[in-house]
Amino acid sequence: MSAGLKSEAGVRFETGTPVEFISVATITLEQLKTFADAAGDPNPIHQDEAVAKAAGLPGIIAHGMLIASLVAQRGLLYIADRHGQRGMGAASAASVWTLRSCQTRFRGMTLLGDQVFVGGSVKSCTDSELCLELQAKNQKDEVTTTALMKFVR
Amino acid sequence: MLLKKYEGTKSGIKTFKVTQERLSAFARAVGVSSDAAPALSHEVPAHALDTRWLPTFLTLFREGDFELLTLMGVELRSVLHGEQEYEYDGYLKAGDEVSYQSIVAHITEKESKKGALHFIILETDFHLVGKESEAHHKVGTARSTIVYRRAAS
Repeated sequence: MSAGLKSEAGVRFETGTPVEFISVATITLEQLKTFADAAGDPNPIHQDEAVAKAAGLPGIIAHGMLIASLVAQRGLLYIADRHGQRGMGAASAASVWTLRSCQTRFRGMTLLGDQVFVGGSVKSCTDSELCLELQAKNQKDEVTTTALMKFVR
Repeated sequence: MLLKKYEGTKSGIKTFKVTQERLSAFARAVGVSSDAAPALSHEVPAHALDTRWLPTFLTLFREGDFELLTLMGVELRSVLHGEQEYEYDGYLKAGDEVSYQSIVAHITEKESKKGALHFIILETDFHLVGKESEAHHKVGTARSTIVYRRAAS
Protein backbone atom coordinates (compact mmCIF):
# COMPACT_ATOMS: atom_id res chain seq x y z
CA MET A 1 0.00 0.00 0.00
CA SER A 2 1.47 3.33 -1.02
CA ALA A 3 1.34 6.31 1.27
CA GLY A 4 -1.53 8.68 0.64
CA LEU A 5 -3.93 6.04 -0.64
CA LYS A 6 -6.74 5.00 1.64
CA SER A 7 -6.91 1.33 2.33
CA GLU A 8 -10.43 -0.06 2.15
CA ALA A 9 -9.69 -2.24 5.15
CA GLY A 10 -8.39 0.82 6.99
CA VAL A 11 -11.77 2.59 6.95
CA ARG A 12 -13.52 1.64 10.15
CA PHE A 13 -17.04 2.32 11.27
CA GLU A 14 -17.64 2.15 15.02
CA THR A 15 -21.00 1.60 16.65
CA GLY A 16 -22.27 4.89 18.00
CA THR A 17 -20.15 7.10 15.75
CA PRO A 18 -22.28 10.15 14.94
CA VAL A 19 -23.28 10.92 11.36
CA GLU A 20 -23.12 14.71 11.46
CA PHE A 21 -26.39 16.56 10.84
CA ILE A 22 -26.05 18.69 7.72
CA SER A 23 -28.53 20.92 5.93
CA VAL A 24 -29.52 19.09 2.76
CA ALA A 25 -32.36 21.23 1.42
CA THR A 26 -34.75 24.11 1.93
CA ILE A 27 -38.01 22.98 0.39
CA THR A 28 -39.01 25.14 -2.58
CA LEU A 29 -42.04 24.88 -4.86
CA GLU A 30 -39.67 24.31 -7.78
CA GLN A 31 -38.13 21.33 -6.00
CA LEU A 32 -41.57 19.86 -5.23
CA LYS A 33 -42.61 20.23 -8.89
CA THR A 34 -39.36 18.66 -10.07
CA PHE A 35 -39.88 15.72 -7.70
CA ALA A 36 -43.55 15.35 -8.67
CA ASP A 37 -42.55 15.03 -12.33
CA ALA A 38 -39.59 12.75 -11.66
CA ALA A 39 -41.48 10.44 -9.29
CA GLY A 40 -44.76 10.51 -11.20
CA ASP A 41 -46.73 11.83 -8.20
CA PRO A 42 -49.07 14.61 -9.33
CA ASN A 43 -50.99 14.88 -6.01
CA PRO A 44 -51.87 18.62 -5.80
CA ILE A 45 -51.41 18.80 -2.00
CA HIS A 46 -47.68 19.01 -2.85
CA GLN A 47 -48.10 21.91 -5.29
CA ASP A 48 -51.34 23.84 -4.71
CA GLU A 49 -51.91 25.69 -1.43
CA ALA A 50 -55.69 25.94 -1.87
CA VAL A 51 -56.01 22.17 -2.37
CA ALA A 52 -53.68 21.48 0.57
CA LYS A 53 -55.70 23.71 2.91
CA ALA A 54 -58.98 22.23 1.69
CA ALA A 55 -57.54 18.83 2.67
CA GLY A 56 -57.03 20.13 6.22
CA LEU A 57 -53.28 20.68 5.92
CA PRO A 58 -51.54 23.83 7.18
CA GLY A 59 -50.21 24.45 3.66
CA ILE A 60 -48.30 22.75 0.86
CA ILE A 61 -46.42 19.73 2.22
CA ALA A 62 -43.39 17.96 0.77
CA HIS A 63 -43.70 14.42 -0.60
CA GLY A 64 -42.73 11.93 2.11
CA MET A 65 -40.65 10.11 -0.48
CA LEU A 66 -38.71 13.30 -1.28
CA ILE A 67 -37.60 13.51 2.36
CA ALA A 68 -36.95 9.75 2.39
CA SER A 69 -34.80 10.20 -0.72
CA LEU A 70 -32.78 13.02 0.85
CA VAL A 71 -32.18 10.84 3.92
CA ALA A 72 -31.08 7.88 1.77
CA GLN A 73 -28.72 10.11 -0.23
CA ARG A 74 -27.15 11.40 3.00
CA GLY A 75 -26.54 7.82 4.12
CA LEU A 76 -24.98 6.78 0.80
CA LEU A 77 -22.74 9.84 0.75
CA TYR A 78 -21.61 9.29 4.34
CA ILE A 79 -20.33 5.85 3.33
CA ALA A 80 -18.81 7.10 0.05
CA ASP A 81 -17.04 9.99 1.79
CA ARG A 82 -15.52 7.74 4.41
CA HIS A 83 -14.03 5.70 1.57
CA GLY A 84 -13.01 8.76 -0.46
CA GLN A 85 -15.30 7.60 -3.27
CA ARG A 86 -17.52 10.60 -3.93
CA GLY A 87 -17.77 11.19 -7.67
CA MET A 88 -16.40 7.78 -8.58
CA GLY A 89 -19.69 6.24 -9.67
CA ALA A 90 -21.79 3.55 -8.12
CA ALA A 91 -19.64 0.58 -9.03
CA SER A 92 -16.67 1.62 -6.93
CA ALA A 93 -18.76 2.39 -3.85
CA ALA A 94 -20.69 -0.82 -4.30
CA SER A 95 -17.43 -2.76 -4.27
CA VAL A 96 -17.11 -1.90 -0.58
CA TRP A 97 -20.65 -1.72 0.82
CA THR A 98 -23.90 -2.61 -0.94
CA LEU A 99 -27.22 -1.22 0.27
CA ARG A 100 -29.34 -4.20 1.29
CA SER A 101 -32.39 -2.46 2.76
CA CYS A 102 -33.74 0.93 3.66
CA GLN A 103 -36.66 1.32 6.06
CA THR A 104 -38.22 4.76 6.46
CA ARG A 105 -40.85 5.92 8.95
CA PHE A 106 -42.79 9.12 8.35
CA ARG A 107 -43.42 10.87 11.69
CA GLY A 108 -44.29 14.43 10.75
CA MET A 109 -44.95 16.70 7.82
CA THR A 110 -42.36 18.83 6.06
CA LEU A 111 -43.85 22.11 4.83
CA LEU A 112 -42.94 24.32 1.90
CA GLY A 113 -40.07 26.56 3.05
CA ASP A 114 -38.88 24.17 5.78
CA GLN A 115 -35.18 23.45 6.06
CA VAL A 116 -34.21 19.76 6.12
CA PHE A 117 -31.26 18.51 8.19
CA VAL A 118 -30.16 14.88 8.03
CA GLY A 119 -27.83 13.04 10.39
CA GLY A 120 -27.77 10.23 12.94
CA SER A 121 -25.31 7.56 13.91
CA VAL A 122 -23.75 4.20 13.10
CA LYS A 123 -26.19 1.79 14.76
CA SER A 124 -24.04 -1.31 14.37
CA CYS A 125 -21.09 -2.54 12.38
CA THR A 126 -19.50 -5.93 11.83
CA ASP A 127 -17.07 -7.13 9.16
CA SER A 128 -19.96 -7.92 6.84
CA GLU A 129 -22.85 -5.65 7.88
CA LEU A 130 -23.19 -1.95 8.58
CA CYS A 131 -26.37 -0.28 9.83
CA LEU A 132 -26.98 3.48 9.86
CA GLU A 133 -29.75 5.06 11.94
CA LEU A 134 -30.69 8.39 10.38
CA GLN A 135 -33.17 11.17 11.07
CA ALA A 136 -34.49 14.15 9.14
CA LYS A 137 -35.23 17.20 11.28
CA ASN A 138 -36.69 20.58 10.43
CA GLN A 139 -35.45 24.04 11.52
CA LYS A 140 -37.38 23.64 14.79
CA ASP A 141 -35.38 20.47 15.57
CA GLU A 142 -38.53 18.36 15.15
CA VAL A 143 -37.92 14.85 13.78
CA THR A 144 -40.01 14.36 10.64
CA THR A 145 -38.57 11.12 9.29
CA THR A 146 -36.44 8.27 10.60
CA ALA A 147 -34.63 5.62 8.58
CA LEU A 148 -32.55 2.49 9.00
CA MET A 149 -30.12 1.73 6.18
CA LYS A 150 -28.49 -1.68 6.15
CA PHE A 151 -25.38 -2.27 4.03
CA VAL A 152 -23.60 -5.57 3.43
CA ARG A 153 -20.28 -6.61 1.90
CA MET B 1 -62.98 -6.45 9.40
CA LEU B 2 -64.36 -5.45 6.03
CA LEU B 3 -60.96 -4.97 4.45
CA LYS B 4 -59.30 -8.11 5.86
CA LYS B 5 -60.79 -10.19 3.04
CA TYR B 6 -58.52 -8.40 0.56
CA GLU B 7 -55.35 -9.92 2.02
CA GLY B 8 -53.61 -11.82 -0.77
CA THR B 9 -55.24 -9.78 -3.55
CA LYS B 10 -52.79 -8.92 -6.33
CA SER B 11 -52.62 -6.00 -8.72
CA GLY B 12 -52.04 -6.41 -12.43
CA ILE B 13 -48.46 -6.87 -13.64
CA LYS B 14 -46.95 -3.61 -14.93
CA THR B 15 -43.76 -2.95 -16.84
CA PHE B 16 -41.51 0.10 -17.20
CA LYS B 17 -38.51 0.83 -19.39
CA VAL B 18 -35.80 2.63 -17.43
CA THR B 19 -34.13 5.44 -19.37
CA GLN B 20 -31.15 7.63 -18.62
CA GLU B 21 -33.52 10.60 -18.87
CA ARG B 22 -35.71 9.29 -16.02
CA LEU B 23 -32.68 8.43 -13.89
CA SER B 24 -31.21 11.90 -14.46
CA ALA B 25 -34.53 13.62 -13.70
CA PHE B 26 -34.83 11.69 -10.44
CA ALA B 27 -31.21 12.44 -9.56
CA ARG B 28 -31.85 16.17 -10.06
CA ALA B 29 -35.04 15.99 -7.99
CA VAL B 30 -33.26 14.45 -4.99
CA GLY B 31 -30.18 16.65 -5.29
CA VAL B 32 -27.67 14.08 -6.50
CA SER B 33 -26.74 16.17 -9.51
CA SER B 34 -28.21 19.61 -9.03
CA ASP B 35 -27.58 22.89 -7.29
CA ALA B 36 -30.68 22.37 -5.15
CA ALA B 37 -28.80 20.34 -2.56
CA PRO B 38 -25.05 20.77 -3.10
CA ALA B 39 -24.35 18.89 0.12
CA LEU B 40 -25.79 15.78 -1.55
CA SER B 41 -24.12 16.08 -4.95
CA HIS B 42 -22.43 12.77 -5.73
CA GLU B 43 -20.72 14.23 -8.80
CA VAL B 44 -21.60 11.01 -10.58
CA PRO B 45 -21.58 11.38 -14.39
CA ALA B 46 -25.03 10.94 -15.96
CA HIS B 47 -24.06 7.83 -17.92
CA ALA B 48 -22.94 6.12 -14.71
CA LEU B 49 -26.21 6.71 -12.83
CA ASP B 50 -28.08 3.63 -11.71
CA THR B 51 -30.34 2.83 -8.78
CA ARG B 52 -27.42 1.94 -6.52
CA TRP B 53 -27.05 5.73 -6.24
CA LEU B 54 -30.82 6.27 -6.37
CA PRO B 55 -32.32 3.61 -4.11
CA THR B 56 -35.65 5.44 -3.74
CA PHE B 57 -36.14 5.46 -7.54
CA LEU B 58 -38.48 2.49 -6.94
CA THR B 59 -41.09 5.01 -5.72
CA LEU B 60 -41.86 5.54 -9.41
CA PHE B 61 -43.57 2.20 -9.40
CA ARG B 62 -46.51 2.63 -7.04
CA GLU B 63 -49.39 2.15 -9.49
CA GLY B 64 -49.95 -1.35 -8.14
CA ASP B 65 -50.37 0.08 -4.64
CA PHE B 66 -52.88 2.67 -5.84
CA GLU B 67 -54.72 0.08 -7.91
CA LEU B 68 -55.18 -2.13 -4.83
CA LEU B 69 -56.24 0.74 -2.55
CA THR B 70 -58.83 1.83 -5.13
CA LEU B 71 -60.04 -1.76 -5.47
CA MET B 72 -60.52 -1.90 -1.69
CA GLY B 73 -62.59 1.28 -1.79
CA VAL B 74 -59.99 3.19 0.22
CA GLU B 75 -60.25 6.93 -0.37
CA LEU B 76 -56.77 8.17 -1.20
CA ARG B 77 -57.43 11.50 0.58
CA SER B 78 -58.00 9.55 3.83
CA VAL B 79 -54.68 7.77 3.88
CA LEU B 80 -51.26 8.52 5.33
CA HIS B 81 -48.02 6.99 4.13
CA GLY B 82 -46.76 5.58 7.43
CA GLU B 83 -43.66 3.61 6.42
CA GLN B 84 -41.75 2.67 3.31
CA GLU B 85 -39.23 -0.13 3.20
CA TYR B 86 -37.08 -1.34 0.31
CA GLU B 87 -35.04 -4.52 0.14
CA TYR B 88 -32.48 -4.69 -2.65
CA ASP B 89 -31.36 -7.83 -4.43
CA GLY B 90 -30.08 -6.04 -7.52
CA TYR B 91 -30.35 -2.68 -9.25
CA LEU B 92 -31.74 -0.95 -12.34
CA LYS B 93 -29.76 0.88 -15.01
CA ALA B 94 -30.72 2.69 -18.21
CA GLY B 95 -32.04 0.24 -20.79
CA ASP B 96 -33.42 -2.22 -18.26
CA GLU B 97 -37.11 -3.12 -18.37
CA VAL B 98 -38.63 -3.82 -14.98
CA SER B 99 -41.85 -5.69 -14.23
CA TYR B 100 -43.66 -5.32 -10.93
CA GLN B 101 -46.78 -6.51 -9.18
CA SER B 102 -48.25 -5.52 -5.83
CA ILE B 103 -50.07 -7.66 -3.26
CA VAL B 104 -52.10 -6.83 -0.16
CA ALA B 105 -49.71 -8.50 2.29
CA HIS B 106 -51.34 -7.75 5.64
CA ILE B 107 -54.13 -5.68 7.18
CA THR B 108 -54.63 -4.90 10.85
CA GLU B 109 -57.52 -2.90 12.20
CA LYS B 110 -57.92 -0.91 15.41
CA GLU B 111 -61.15 0.63 16.62
CA SER B 112 -61.09 4.20 17.85
CA LYS B 113 -63.75 6.77 18.74
CA LYS B 114 -63.16 8.48 15.43
CA GLY B 115 -63.66 5.28 13.45
CA ALA B 116 -61.69 2.27 12.34
CA LEU B 117 -57.95 2.68 11.84
CA HIS B 118 -56.45 0.31 9.28
CA PHE B 119 -52.77 -0.47 8.76
CA ILE B 120 -52.48 -1.80 5.22
CA ILE B 121 -49.17 -3.36 4.18
CA LEU B 122 -48.67 -3.54 0.43
CA GLU B 123 -45.72 -5.43 -1.06
CA THR B 124 -44.34 -5.00 -4.56
CA ASP B 125 -41.76 -7.32 -6.13
CA PHE B 126 -39.54 -6.06 -8.94
CA HIS B 127 -37.94 -8.21 -11.62
CA LEU B 128 -35.85 -7.60 -14.75
CA VAL B 129 -37.87 -8.43 -17.87
CA GLY B 130 -36.16 -10.91 -20.19
CA LYS B 131 -33.74 -12.06 -17.48
CA GLU B 132 -36.11 -14.50 -15.77
CA SER B 133 -33.80 -17.44 -16.39
CA GLU B 134 -30.87 -15.67 -14.76
CA ALA B 135 -30.07 -15.96 -11.08
CA HIS B 136 -30.03 -12.21 -10.46
CA HIS B 137 -33.25 -11.15 -12.13
CA LYS B 138 -34.87 -9.99 -8.89
CA VAL B 139 -34.32 -6.29 -8.31
CA GLY B 140 -35.96 -6.07 -4.92
CA THR B 141 -39.10 -5.66 -2.86
CA ALA B 142 -40.96 -2.55 -1.73
CA ARG B 143 -43.14 -2.63 1.38
CA SER B 144 -45.52 0.28 1.99
CA THR B 145 -47.48 0.77 5.21
CA ILE B 146 -50.59 2.80 4.51
CA VAL B 147 -52.62 4.16 7.44
CA TYR B 148 -56.29 4.52 6.59
CA ARG B 149 -58.94 5.97 8.88
CA ARG B 150 -62.47 5.10 7.90
CA ALA B 151 -64.91 7.50 9.50
CA ALA B 152 -67.46 5.99 11.89
CA SER B 153 -70.82 5.78 10.17
